[in-house]
Amino acid sequence: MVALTLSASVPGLKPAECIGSLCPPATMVQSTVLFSGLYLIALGTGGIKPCVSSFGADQFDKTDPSERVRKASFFNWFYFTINIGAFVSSTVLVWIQENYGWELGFLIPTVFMGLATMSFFFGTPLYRFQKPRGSPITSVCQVLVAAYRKSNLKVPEDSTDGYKKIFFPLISCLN
Amino acid sequence: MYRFLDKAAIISEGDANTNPWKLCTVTQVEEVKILLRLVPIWASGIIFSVLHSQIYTLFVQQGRCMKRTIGLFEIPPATLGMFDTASVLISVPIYDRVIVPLVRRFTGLAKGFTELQRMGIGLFVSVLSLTFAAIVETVRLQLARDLDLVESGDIVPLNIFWQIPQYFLMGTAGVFFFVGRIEFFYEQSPDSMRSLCSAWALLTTTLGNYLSSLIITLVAYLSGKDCWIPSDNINNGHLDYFFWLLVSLGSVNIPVFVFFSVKYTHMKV
Repeated sequence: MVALTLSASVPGLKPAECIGSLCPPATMVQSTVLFSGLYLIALGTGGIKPCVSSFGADQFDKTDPSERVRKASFFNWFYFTINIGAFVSSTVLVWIQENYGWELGFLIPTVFMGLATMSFFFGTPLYRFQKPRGSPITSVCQVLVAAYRKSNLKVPEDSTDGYKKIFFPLISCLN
Repeated sequence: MYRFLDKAAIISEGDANTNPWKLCTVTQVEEVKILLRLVPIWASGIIFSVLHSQIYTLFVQQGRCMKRTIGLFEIPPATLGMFDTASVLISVPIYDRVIVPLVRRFTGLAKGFTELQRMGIGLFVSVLSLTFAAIVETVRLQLARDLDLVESGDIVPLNIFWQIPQYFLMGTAGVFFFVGRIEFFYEQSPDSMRSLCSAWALLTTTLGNYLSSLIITLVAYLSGKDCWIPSDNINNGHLDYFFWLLVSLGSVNIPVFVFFSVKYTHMKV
């Protein structure tokens, strides 16, 4: 967001003004700043979107029935707040960009994003944390590789439950 | 069906070393099975997002060629998307405060519907939205023919407020499907994979958008001379046929989704 704001406001980073119908093209540096801003937003969104709903829901105690109901409600209001943001940006911010220019239009969300990040970090002592358990993708790959390596073995004939009872203690020991 | 994966947890000779690429825990194997069971439910999101993405693309195109002035004020086409967010802002409180308590009385479930039921309803409402869009477009094109606006591509004097039902229904469909999906993937995924599964669910939106572009390209190619979606003048096209195509696509998706949901629920029990 900072890169986008800069590329819309700092004279050196924004393409020169048009003279009549003649518009000078953006320089290499100018496009690099603009596009790195856009790609950073994509990267940041990819990181925040799936985590923020999961982390929010992690704050509820699974074992408490009343908190379970409130957790279901949380997902509704989570979606609600995202849409408040979208609503404000498609009305108020569009209007500001049309009437006051892109500088202010980008500056306002940048400032708010900064404030949001700060308030998120200030809340740290209040959060409930789940223990991180390493990359799940590694774990999935391990299962696929191990199953492939042992594809010639036979699964014990008894029911799946039976063999779990036999092997689970053994395997837990190994870990 | 997933017995192949069980082999990853079998101890064979020479497994004394604990190489995790040769021997996995049963928990690990079970987690992978859970992921595989989620795949069909996950895939249904792709079709939903094809339908949902029309809000930002062809609904706007359609709105562009409708009467947008209220008194002296003209609604810019770019702000039409706000009907979608506005409908979410209206329907979330209604859903959370009215529908859930009401449904709870019948189902006895604290949260009203199960996540899968909720997603299914979302799919149905999205098809309903496209049906309205198709009807509005049929009327609009008929009007364009009657008033001789087909060649000029001018604005057809049909009020833009006729688009409200389609926007509103799609917004509501999002409340059912998207929120149901966030909840479903959070609840069903293994503990260590919550964020991964949520990220994975969001991927369907991307895939849906690509699929939507692909369908539009294919339709443009196949419809040839009497193009359904001309880029310059939609009065000369057949956007209504395209919307009906999406209605049928969405309608086929519903029974497939129901089949896999029922199967999924049985597997868990």
